[in-house]
Amino acid sequence: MEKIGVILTVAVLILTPVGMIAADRHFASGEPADVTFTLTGVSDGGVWTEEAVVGHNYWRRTPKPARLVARAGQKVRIRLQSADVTHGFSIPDLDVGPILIEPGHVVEAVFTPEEPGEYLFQCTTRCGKCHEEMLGSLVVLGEGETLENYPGGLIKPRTKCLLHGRS
Amino acid sequence: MNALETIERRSAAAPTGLPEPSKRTFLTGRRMELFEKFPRLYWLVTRRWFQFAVVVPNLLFFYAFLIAGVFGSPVGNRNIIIIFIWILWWFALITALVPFASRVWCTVCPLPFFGDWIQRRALINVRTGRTCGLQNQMYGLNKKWPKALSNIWLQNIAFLGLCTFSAMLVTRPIVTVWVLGSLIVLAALMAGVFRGRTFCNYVCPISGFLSLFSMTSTLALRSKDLDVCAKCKTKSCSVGSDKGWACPWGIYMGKLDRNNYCGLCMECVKSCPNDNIGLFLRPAMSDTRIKGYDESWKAFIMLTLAAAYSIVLLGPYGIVKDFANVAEVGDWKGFGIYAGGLWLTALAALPAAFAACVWIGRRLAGRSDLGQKEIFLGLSYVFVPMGLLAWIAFSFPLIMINGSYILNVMSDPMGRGWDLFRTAQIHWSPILPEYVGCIQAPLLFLGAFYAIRAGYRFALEKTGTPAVAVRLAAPVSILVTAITLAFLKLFVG
Repeated sequence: MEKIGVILTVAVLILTPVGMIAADRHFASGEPADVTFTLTGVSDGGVWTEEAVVGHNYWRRTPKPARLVARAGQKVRIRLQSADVTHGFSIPDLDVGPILIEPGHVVEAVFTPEEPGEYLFQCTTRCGKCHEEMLGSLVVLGEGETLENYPGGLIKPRTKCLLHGRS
Repeated sequence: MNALETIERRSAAAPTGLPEPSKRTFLTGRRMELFEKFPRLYWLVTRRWFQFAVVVPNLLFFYAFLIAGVFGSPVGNRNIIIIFIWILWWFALITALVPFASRVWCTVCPLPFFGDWIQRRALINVRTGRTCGLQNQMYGLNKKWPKALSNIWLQNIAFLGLCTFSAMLVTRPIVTVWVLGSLIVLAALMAGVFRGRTFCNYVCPISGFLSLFSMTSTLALRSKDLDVCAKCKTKSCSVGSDKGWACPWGIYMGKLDRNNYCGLCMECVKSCPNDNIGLFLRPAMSDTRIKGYDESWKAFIMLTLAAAYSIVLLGPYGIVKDFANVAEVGDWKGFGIYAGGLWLTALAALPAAFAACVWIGRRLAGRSDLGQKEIFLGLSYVFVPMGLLAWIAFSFPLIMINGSYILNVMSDPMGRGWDLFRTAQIHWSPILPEYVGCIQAPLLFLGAFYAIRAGYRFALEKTGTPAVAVRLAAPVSILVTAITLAFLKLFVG
């Protein structure tokens, strides 16, 4: 009987996180695409980021703004989620969005950019005092191009919202 | 005798489920012994695997909640640790488990799981041997907890402290993870140093209010016949045996007359050689004796917190919400006013008002021979039923307004886009919000009724004369009525 207890306890301790990771992977798979990004909107820091913004790090630091890279003609899938409040997502020059993103829900944008260039994406729902800074870019590389062809980027240095919106 | 024979014997002995009147117990009035009424329940709780079997599923959920708190969405209403613990668990605990099942939460609580293993080096089996006068082999240092701290003052302060920062605790998953994670580590460390459930008895902030409010419960584990306990030579309930561990709460069943410090682990039921432990169904609010100032102050703290939470979370006062929500708003001066007001009310103002009522009551009754302390302690029980019902009244809107989030997080516990049961996309919808006041008002009146009745009964017991008892209890009854009306104003306008 004691052995069963030990086995059950160890199983709980090991299988619980394993099961959660498996479920996470299962639900993360969606429409097939050539390249997939996960973008999280963070209102306090005013960023779209590729970093995982979760319970243990949300309150500690503002994540890096995203600069996504894909190749012209590739099918792009962006999984959009919010770490805090309702956000909107749009890439106006590629006719993507606006898409409403509620916290706790994942919404996907799937599209195929054909023209090389750097495209700005932004939050389209007033989400807080750093809303205007909630920008990012998608670099679409043409034949033979590398990121060096797009120096500097479209996003200006952020001043207002360095740490949770409190400068 | 095997288990089924035991069941048959018990059924035959008491077919009605009522104890024989000649037996001397600490229970008075109507009662039903559940082990005799439901022999399979007795069979279940006397299995060695019983507690393990009820704790492990809870441990699984607790562990998953912690993982969700760390790696899931930082949004409170999209993370299962917030919704399940601070809405569902709290509601179930305060409205059902405590009033109807005493400290049954302690039976299934996962916090001391690892601590118990450190002490026992066993998850299910019992070890015989001799350790510090017990009949079980125990591990760890087995130190005695200091006598000066053998009360619930630490729990009082810990609970008040936690609740002062509740705006963060109940909205930020990572804060809940830190608090619960710290409690499980502390429980394990303390189990390695001190004997028994020292953590549960004297430190756990949840245990403090469970102990107080379990007095109101309709369920009680008691000796069936105190004479049998008195004649018992082994005292196995207290010191253990080859069938059960020594009571981790340090209780001898022959003296257990209140629910407060019994964690319903059922070890005594297993180890009693006389089959003399019963699980009784009894009228609500049956334990009425407050034994120390620490318990009185717990009652003051709980009532004050029920009022404070009602004001902050349910009330229309934006400025108070901002004061309490210091992490978001950053108004530390305002938070100081809120925290200072809360602590002052709970620890000084309410007790002072109550002490004044007791003093006036003694003067009105013309019974200055009755000690202030004795009457203070006795009458402070009125805040137990009143506090419990105020907490229940506060908790109903939590579930009625936020209940639909439970369906969301069941399907998507981490707020990461899962949809396990196809309920993740259900939109927030309050459940009959227009009836919240209709539920809260009767609960408040019921609390006031139980409180005033308990005050009068205590006064009658002390004075022996109804007219004098009315005068002794009148000022406290007026205070109870005034507080009830204040709650009523807050809840229903």
